[in-house]
Amino acid sequence: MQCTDTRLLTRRQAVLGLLGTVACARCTAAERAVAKARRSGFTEIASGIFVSSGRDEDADAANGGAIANVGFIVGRDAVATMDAGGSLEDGQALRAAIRAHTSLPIRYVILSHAHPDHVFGAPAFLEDRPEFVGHAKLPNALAIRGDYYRARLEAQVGKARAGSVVAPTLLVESTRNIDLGGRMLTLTAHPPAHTDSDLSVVDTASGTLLASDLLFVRRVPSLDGSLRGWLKELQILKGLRTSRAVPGHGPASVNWPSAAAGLERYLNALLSETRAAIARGVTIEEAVNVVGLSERGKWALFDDYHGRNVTQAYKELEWE
Amino acid sequence: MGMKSSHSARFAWVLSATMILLLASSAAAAVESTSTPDEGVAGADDPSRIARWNALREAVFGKREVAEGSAVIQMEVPARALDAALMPLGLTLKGGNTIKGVYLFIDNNPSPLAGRFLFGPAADPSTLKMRVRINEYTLVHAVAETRDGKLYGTHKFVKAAGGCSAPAGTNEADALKEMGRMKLRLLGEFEPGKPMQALLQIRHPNFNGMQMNQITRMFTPARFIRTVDVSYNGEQVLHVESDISMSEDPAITFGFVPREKGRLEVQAVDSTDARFVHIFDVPAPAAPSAASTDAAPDSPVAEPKDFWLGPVNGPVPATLSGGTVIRAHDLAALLKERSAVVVDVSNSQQRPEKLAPQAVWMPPPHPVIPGSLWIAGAGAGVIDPHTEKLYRQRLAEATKNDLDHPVVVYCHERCWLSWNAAKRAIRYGYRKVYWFPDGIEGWRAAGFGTETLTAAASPS
Repeated sequence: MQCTDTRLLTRRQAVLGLLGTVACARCTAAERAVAKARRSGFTEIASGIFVSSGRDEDADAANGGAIANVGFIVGRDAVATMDAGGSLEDGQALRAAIRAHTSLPIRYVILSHAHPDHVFGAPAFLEDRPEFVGHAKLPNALAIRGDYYRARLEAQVGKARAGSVVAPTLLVESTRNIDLGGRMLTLTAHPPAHTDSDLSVVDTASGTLLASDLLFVRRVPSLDGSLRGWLKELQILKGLRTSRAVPGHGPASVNWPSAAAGLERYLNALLSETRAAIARGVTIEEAVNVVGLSERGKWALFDDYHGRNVTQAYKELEWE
Repeated sequence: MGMKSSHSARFAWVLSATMILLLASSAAAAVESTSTPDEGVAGADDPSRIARWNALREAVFGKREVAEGSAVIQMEVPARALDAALMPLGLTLKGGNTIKGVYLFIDNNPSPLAGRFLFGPAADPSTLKMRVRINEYTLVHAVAETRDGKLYGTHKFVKAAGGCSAPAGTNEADALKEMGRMKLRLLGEFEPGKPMQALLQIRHPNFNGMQMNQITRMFTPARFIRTVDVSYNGEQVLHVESDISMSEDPAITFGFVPREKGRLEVQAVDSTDARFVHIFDVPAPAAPSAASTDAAPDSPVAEPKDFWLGPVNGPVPATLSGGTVIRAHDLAALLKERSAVVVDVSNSQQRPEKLAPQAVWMPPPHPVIPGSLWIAGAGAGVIDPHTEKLYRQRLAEATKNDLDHPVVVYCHERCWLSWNAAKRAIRYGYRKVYWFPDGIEGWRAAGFGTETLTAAASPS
């Protein structure tokens, strides 16, 4: 699938050339090649938090699955990653970037939810023996969908590069703190929202919310949990006293909570227009042609995901 | 319904024959596939697709000819399937009452005969819509059968993948909690004798048995809606035989001809023999709100003098001599105000005898009004002495032998068990017996919460 905005791509490619080289100054040549080819470099968005923005595309051979944002947080004693990358190769690039920056142990690999673009890089960290941290519902979601995701990813990027599911070793039921040494991260397990296994992270020291896919910027949101639930969780997250957020897709860093406005507008349009369609007796197949069309043109990949979002919303709301 | 039983037997045979045949043919395909490694992108006219359809057609129809049928049957699918686990599919049929039924095939699904639809005398066989799962790029065939035995086919090529192995929903626990809820939406205005359409929705996970748990290496057992029967004022509208190719929360749009005001009765049976029955008023009652899931108000039925010995499910009286009929909101208020003993007398689900010994028997959690005692059997027309003793004892314990303590009895909507059990409690001497005829369905429809009990909590 093509990115809808070629100008965006071109600009990102330019950034990629610069930052990719800088951030990977201490990598091996091979690691540098990997990191350079697929991702923009890692930007230090707040003291000790490094994020690389993914491409607004679907996974394919050219991007190697590097389509979601990934990052890492460096404490006094240890490192945590926020998501593992969208493929084994992408995970290796993330690991190389960490190693280029610090030799501290990678103690936590946080898996924000079950979608493949966030978890398939996990095998790249097995040698570090970290805790793989996830929502209490993550193991079940991975068990149900893992094989299917893997087959699809292998078709998209090739078998050797795809990676696999790694079972979480540390589960979060509601909230949990993890300590990187003088740096406490607060992990929150959310009720069904973007998916049913969403985990967000707050770094209090820097006032940063690592929202992963609870926050989409630029790329069209994908709904795979609960529309009403997502709007509710978004309200709660907006109440956090952090001035900065890292979305799962979009720029490496955005202002918080103002950057939630686009997502909220989209989800509210989906909610009110799907409800109205159901009330008018519009069928599920017709609804995809009438709901949320004012959002077209405001998001990358809109035509690839919006129809499915309407289907999901309809399915949820028709039982209200 | 004689129509149903004879066809079911034949259908089951056809299905199993199809399975065997497809196992054989897919093994053959695997051998050939070395030269065409990416079968997934084979086009609509690829010889492998035509061969598979020919094999399928022969398995189901034998040597009967399936004529090109665009004059009789047309199929509509989205240009691009947006969600492989929920692809809307519509059929338009021309031929009126000469059409006996429709077969739907999703050729490349592991269970390709997705459904068979038989129209009854009260049907308007002009439209059928459903939602299906698509496992990989596939031809979809629909074949109409006329009453004189002719077959007319049409097909579409669908590009979608993953609908079977990637279930749309991951909230399995929630899906089971709500299982069996139904909604009916009437499309168009009611006018006696004029065909109208209805969208029937059934809450059911339709587990397809294809998701492997990577930790246990076991497949989540299949559990799916197997038959749906719809009748209008007792006259058959539609008989559906379906399986795992139908989406989660199956939804079917069909046409029927209501000659007068009446009731549409829907009975769905799943693969564990769990039975879900709902009745809907036509035209729909004036106040919509949550009422679409309520059972229709029953026509007046006189109270029998003694316990009811007839069929357990059906219209029930509006009254109970010596007791009080209570509705959901009043019951909620009563429970809030003061302590009452609430007794659920619905039956527990017994493992069917014919179930294979290795089959997983796992009845869903039993939802009850919070705090309920579950005393199965207390509402039988003729009660066995053991159960009677147990019922008396548990009432005595729960009320602390206070005959003025309120006792509320319920089971399901349109269910005589609670009427009988409430009457029995009155005969035992309880002076404040409330009968809640709307049952657990009515309680939920009114928006009140439930808690769940497992079968072990039910006295055997």
